[in-house]
Amino acid sequence: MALFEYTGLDWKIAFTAVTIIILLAAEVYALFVPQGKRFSWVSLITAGLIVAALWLPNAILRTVLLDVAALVLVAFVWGQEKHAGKLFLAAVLIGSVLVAAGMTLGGLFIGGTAQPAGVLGKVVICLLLIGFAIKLAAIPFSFWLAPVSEKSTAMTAVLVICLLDMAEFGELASLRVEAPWVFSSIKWVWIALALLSMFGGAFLALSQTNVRRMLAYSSIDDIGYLVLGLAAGTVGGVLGAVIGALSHSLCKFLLFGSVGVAENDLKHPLTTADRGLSSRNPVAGAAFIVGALGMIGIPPFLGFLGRWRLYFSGLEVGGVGIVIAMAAATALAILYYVRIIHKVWLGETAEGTLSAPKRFIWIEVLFIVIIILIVVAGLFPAILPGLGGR
Amino acid sequence: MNALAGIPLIVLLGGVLIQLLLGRVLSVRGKGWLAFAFGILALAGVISFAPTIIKGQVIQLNLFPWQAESPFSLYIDGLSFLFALMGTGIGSAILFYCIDYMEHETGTTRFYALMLTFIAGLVGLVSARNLLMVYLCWEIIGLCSYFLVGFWYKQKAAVDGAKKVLVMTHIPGYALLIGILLLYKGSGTFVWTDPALAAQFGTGIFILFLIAAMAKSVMFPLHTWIPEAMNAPTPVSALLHSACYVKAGVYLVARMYSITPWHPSWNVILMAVGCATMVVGALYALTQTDLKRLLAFSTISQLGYIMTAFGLGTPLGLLAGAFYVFSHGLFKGTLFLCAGAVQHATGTKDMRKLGGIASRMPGTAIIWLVVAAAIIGVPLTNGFVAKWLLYDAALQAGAWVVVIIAWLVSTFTAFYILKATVGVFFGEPSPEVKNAEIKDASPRMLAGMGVLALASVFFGVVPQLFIKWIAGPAMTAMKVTLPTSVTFLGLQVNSGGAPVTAGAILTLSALLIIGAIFAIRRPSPKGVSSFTGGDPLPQGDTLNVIDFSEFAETTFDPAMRLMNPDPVYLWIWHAISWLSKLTRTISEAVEKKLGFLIIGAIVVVAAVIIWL
Repeated sequence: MALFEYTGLDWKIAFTAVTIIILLAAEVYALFVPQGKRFSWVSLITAGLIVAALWLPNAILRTVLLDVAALVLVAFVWGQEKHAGKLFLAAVLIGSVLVAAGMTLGGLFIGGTAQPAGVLGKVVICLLLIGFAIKLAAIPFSFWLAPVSEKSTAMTAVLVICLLDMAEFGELASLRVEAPWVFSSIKWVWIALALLSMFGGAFLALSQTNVRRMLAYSSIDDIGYLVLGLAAGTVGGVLGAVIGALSHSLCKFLLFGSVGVAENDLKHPLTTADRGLSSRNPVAGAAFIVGALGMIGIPPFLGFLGRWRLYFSGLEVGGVGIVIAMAAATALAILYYVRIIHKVWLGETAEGTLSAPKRFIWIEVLFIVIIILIVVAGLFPAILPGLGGR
Repeated sequence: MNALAGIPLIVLLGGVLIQLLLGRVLSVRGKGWLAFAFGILALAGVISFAPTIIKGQVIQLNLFPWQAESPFSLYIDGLSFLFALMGTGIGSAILFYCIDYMEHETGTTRFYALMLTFIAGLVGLVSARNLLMVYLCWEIIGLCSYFLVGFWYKQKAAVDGAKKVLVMTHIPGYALLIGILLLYKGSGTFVWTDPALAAQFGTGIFILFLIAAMAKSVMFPLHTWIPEAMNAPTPVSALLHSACYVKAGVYLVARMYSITPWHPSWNVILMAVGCATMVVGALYALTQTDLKRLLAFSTISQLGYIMTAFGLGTPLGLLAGAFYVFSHGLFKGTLFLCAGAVQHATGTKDMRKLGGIASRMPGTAIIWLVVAAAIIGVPLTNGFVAKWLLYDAALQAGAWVVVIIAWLVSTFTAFYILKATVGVFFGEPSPEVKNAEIKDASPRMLAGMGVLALASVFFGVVPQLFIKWIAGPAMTAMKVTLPTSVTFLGLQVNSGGAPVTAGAILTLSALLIIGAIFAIRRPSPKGVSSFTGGDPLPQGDTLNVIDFSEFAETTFDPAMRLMNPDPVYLWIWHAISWLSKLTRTISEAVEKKLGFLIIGAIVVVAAVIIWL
């Protein structure tokens, strides 16, 4: 059974649309805020490979294309900062090798759906779990994401997190539907991994002073919710996870985009020492706030449609205890986002930053369009392909 | 008729859209007029439901499909009507007041769009047939309050208040979501009118719903956000306190009567919460020197009354609750608007810097006096009828503890409202305002306040109209029948005897005590005057607002420290901070030995999987 038949949401169309939106937005963004040499080509190639991978029926080709896209991004990140590039390369290589080995041994590249017998089955599950955990930067395999987010340009981080990471997550979601045994036989290990990412990501995000590192850990936190939806395996859980992934992409664009604008204005990395940036960049401030609230899953943003389903899947799979744990992790997420919003964006401007900033109208238009999209999709989910009424 | 059910919501959201589209074209006043026009249209839409609602019927409409078993579906009954009328009616008066009040502000497109969305959120909440939509609207009004409290986002005090609003009301909101999902899991439906859902409604769900309602309706110990939210523009405070925010929790509690019969223990829990809140709010109000903070704590106390009335659970208790919730909307909204007018004219809301401005702001002073009388419970006002009904209900139910606490808190209410009245409007002007040029509120601002004050008097004189047309259908929605027939001034014509008489005596006695104390020690024409609470002070010595607050603070200090939950919240925050720092330290230590980390993690995960 395909993901579309299982959930009713056409992931291919939906994620293609999100990829195109983010690609266009990133290209426009890069016209005004420098994103590194040849960014236009890198983003075009990466997005092209990801979209192609989405539509290819062959699992081997899909995996290869996504890995090539990852390597393109590795090279680009490496050019910006060597250490981050090294870590990213390590993650891509180890993750890809483990996933490819698991898929091969499990017969998943050739359409096999049954679990291999005996220890081999467990080895396959082990390879896939660790491989995807590295690719998605789930804790304890999240070593690469924070350096990449911190050291690369804002839109490079967007390509990595919003497109590559979420495309890989789509692969995992497809696997959940096509080979459910990968999850069902060790459901509690997946759930433990999910909870570890949720709480570990949240606590680490709360302790960061660098805003981009905080955003990286918030992604790790969010990955926990998405993985939990897949671990539950119910229709609602998987649907919630894929909607959550779409929302994650759009919201993270707003978050990194607004941080990039502020950094371009201040000429230094954004940290909790900065103050009152909304006075200088009100639209960027609004974009950050909406992105943060969308990530938390507050209605009426798109993230809510995913988040309540994820809570429900938590309730189904683990009872009230799991859902309370999820709510507690979300409370931590509110705390770390609110901390940045109120320290960095709102309130009085810090001394020495009173000069009029350079504002980029087209970037502001982009932010506004994506904010509207997130709200409209939250209120009228029927615009998501195949989802109408479900 | 059903097809018109969506009109108030559509009008309000249409108003938001037009504000956003024409924001750059319209003048500030133009935006104000436009918002007011949409508010009035929405009010007209709500009023158009009256003929159907008064007959005890409901109005239903499926607007559009949304998601899993939960279309945007409206269900308007008497309870929805009561709250929607309050939201759009009081909201419109506040929007009218805004036209002049916000005249010199920037960011008014954002302001009016949020105000209309706020009202729409409440209308949506009370009209929603499915619980997921209830949660959606619950959070929309939460977000509106966050953005409106932080309207002056360049001011630290405003954004600090907004932060507290978001954290302290959103997090308990997850209790509501979990409750809704538990109901869905058990019944397979989000529709609260479905008997299958009612069958799943147990004590656990009640407590989850109550936690959410407590945070929104400032119940102890989740009340500490509201005084911090007072750095918002005054119309926001007025809307927040009177109609669109704190009343959402009351609605949720009242709606639980529609869903399922209450277990007796639920009544006890709610009464306990309500009584504790009453006391805490009043004690803190006594010690305030900031006018808006005093009113904020007063809201806490008054919401305690309302929740206690609903907690009684008897038909008379529910009637008292329904009457009180509407009355409080009217008089508290007006009190805030008056406070805003004073701040607008004098530039301060610090009562230590005010005094004697009644002669220079006569219109505002008169309106203040009317609604101050209402909140204290003076006959001829709606506050008197509300308190009388509440005392009657408590006496009939044999809830003596409630009677004693409510009576005591009534006395406190009279104290702090008189303190504010005298401290702001009468006595000797403070040096700060003595030579300042102070003008009364504009006619439009006075009209906005005046109409609400008039309504307070109107429903105090002829409460039977409210009870027959508004409270009655609300009672039907809560599945009880109107217990008594009320006539002019709140007199009950078909019930009598000791409880009714005692109720009236209790209501009046609080006033008589205050009056007696005032008579013993009349305010001195010299100096800022406050009554002493006892023997007259020596000649030439007066007790002012500061003395009064310090006296109350000293006297009630042990109780106030005991009832302040903020240290607990701070402790939780410190614990979370400590844990996050510890996690970071561990993470950084491990990252230094990355190879070991990766190999170790792989080995552990592999071992677990293979072992399983």
